[in-house]
Formats: sequence, C-alpha cells, structure tokens
Amino acid sequence: MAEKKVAGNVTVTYNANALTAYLNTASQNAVVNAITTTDFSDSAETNIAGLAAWSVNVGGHWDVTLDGYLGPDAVAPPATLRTLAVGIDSITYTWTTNAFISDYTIDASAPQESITWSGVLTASGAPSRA
Amino acid sequence: MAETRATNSLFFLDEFDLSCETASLSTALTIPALDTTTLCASAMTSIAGLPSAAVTMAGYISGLVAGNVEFEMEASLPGTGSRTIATLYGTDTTGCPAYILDNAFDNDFTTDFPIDGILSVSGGWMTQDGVKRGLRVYNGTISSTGTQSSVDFGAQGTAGGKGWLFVTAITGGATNADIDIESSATEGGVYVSEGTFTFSAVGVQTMTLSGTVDRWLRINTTDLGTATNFAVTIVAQIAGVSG
Repeated sequence: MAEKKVAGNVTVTYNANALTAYLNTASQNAVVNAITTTDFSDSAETNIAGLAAWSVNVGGHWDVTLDGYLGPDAVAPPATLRTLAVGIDSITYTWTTNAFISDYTIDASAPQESITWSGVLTASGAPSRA
Repeated sequence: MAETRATNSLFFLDEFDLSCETASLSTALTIPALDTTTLCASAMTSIAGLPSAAVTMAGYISGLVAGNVEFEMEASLPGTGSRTIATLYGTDTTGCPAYILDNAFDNDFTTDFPIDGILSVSGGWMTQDGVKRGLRVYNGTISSTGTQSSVDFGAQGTAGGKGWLFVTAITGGATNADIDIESSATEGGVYVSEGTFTFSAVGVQTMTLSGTVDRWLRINTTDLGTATNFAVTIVAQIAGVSG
C-alpha cells in the first residue's frame, strides 16, 4: 500500500477559483440516510440505503483574495449554482453548476494569531468521478 | 499562502471603532440548503435559501461611557434603536472587505465578572435587513479637498449599490462637509459622482448608489465644511459584484 499525504494531493476549486492555497482542513462528505426496514420478523435492525447528501467542509487561513471568491456568494447566493471540483490525487469529484457555499465564517478570535475561515460547500446531486 | 494577522481587523458599531476593546471578532454567513430532491434523484439535491448573518465579539470593559463597548452594546439592545455594525478584515489592504449589518440589534449581551479576571463583555448582533458586503474605499484623516486613490471592485455593476460613511473624529468643526463617491471604468480615467455624503458631526451615514456603477471607486472631498480635518472610513458596495 502506498499511503499519500494530504499536502500536494488534495485540491478544491469553487467557481473556477482554486481554494487549495487557503485550506488547511477539508473533508468531503456523502451522508447516506438509512431507511429502516425492520419488521416484527427480524432479529436485528435492517436498513436499505436512501440518497446521499454531499458536502465539502473547508477551512484554513483567510485572506482578502479568498474573501473575493466566497464572500459575494455568501451574502447573495448565485441564481445559477457554481461548479465545485475536489481533486484527490489522480481523481476528481465534480459538481457542474450544482454547488454553493452555505456557511462561511471569518474568525479573528485570537489577536496574536492569523484570521481563519471555515465553510461548507453544499453540493446538489451526485458528482461525476473521473 | 498569504495569511492575514487577526490584528488587521476592525469592528465598528456606528461611528465607534471598538477594535481596541475587542479581543475576538467573528462574522458568520449562513445560507440554508433548501431540499429539492425528487423521486427521480440519484442523490439529494438542493438550492440555496436566504442568507443570514451574525456578528459575535468578545472584549474588555475599559470604560463605561459613550464610545465604550459596554455602553454601546447596551444601547443596541432591542427597543433602544437600531445600529450599523461593520466588520472589516484584512485592513492592511486598502480595498479590504467589509461586512455590514444595517438596522442591527444586539441579540446577546453578556458582561462577565470573574473573581480572578478582567471585566469582560461579549455579544452578538443580527440585522433586520440583509447583510451587505462592500470594499473599503478609504480610511484615514482628510485635511484638504481633493481625490484619493481608487479601489478596484473587479467589475462594473448595473444594479446600483450602497455607500457607508463612518465619521470618527472632526477637528475644527465641520458644517456641511461633502465627500463624493466617484466611479470610473478605468483607473485614472473619467470619474463620475455616484452620490455625496454631507455631514456636520461624527456619526454614520448611508447612501444609495443607483444604476450603473463602474469598477474603480474613489472618494473626492469637495468641501471640508470649515473643519481642519476629519477622520473617516468609507465603504462602498456594488450590488451583484461585491456582494
């Protein structure tokens, strides 16, 4: 097995703007709701899979350029959603015009530190994986 | 990566710059995902709902009179009048972003008295109107008429916008001092007035920008109004461009 470090192997692009250089934390989530199918004849809980809800949690060091990428959409969501691409090594998950930023926080909570940011990029529908 | 020091942040409550009593500042923008999933979907689908904003801060009580954080927070509780909240980040850049909550009210006001600590205060604000994102066009002390350097908003807008003037100090007394916001399609090109702030005292003013606003914005002080100088911060928003 060849493990891969995160640095240099993960990219996030939102609306054609690379967020990678502003990230020090990210996770891509596909949360599938479980549809409970348990009945009186079962000896254990049974489920079938529902639909996946996709989102990408992001955060890192903030700067003015990054704010120009995300801030306008965070105060006025675009009528046409944005394209989101998450690259993991050699593959890329892409939502074409199907993503928006649903949480965006700028945090200057420690005067002796840098300004940080966090956000959630909410994706609509399933991505392509190539 | 270009990191930004937290000390390059500003917190205005009306015309009061409370940054020197603030130890922690946060602006949170939230857009709910509205579920649009249908029976033919292969994954959950959604569209963006209505944005909302909240500003939270924590700091120290260094005074109890007008212009101090405790006094001004108490004065922004519901029923005592709405206020203008502005948070600016990356203030080492002239055209830094500013998030503005007009008609804001204090939705959390806590004073803390730890036996072994410092008199502290914390709170949060929400807005009766939508949050706006602008860029700072100017910050400093003006002692003569004339123009200042322009700030690039990146694109022209056609749906107007808004301007905010924070007058934090006046020396010599101003009577109907005038500051224009001007825009131009090119830096150093032909600038057209988008509107005028007229003021005679410290305070905060807003101005609506109408129609087309070009991408380069600057201020032009056309009248000092008998003042020797005044300290101002000016923010502008181009709707659909800066947010």
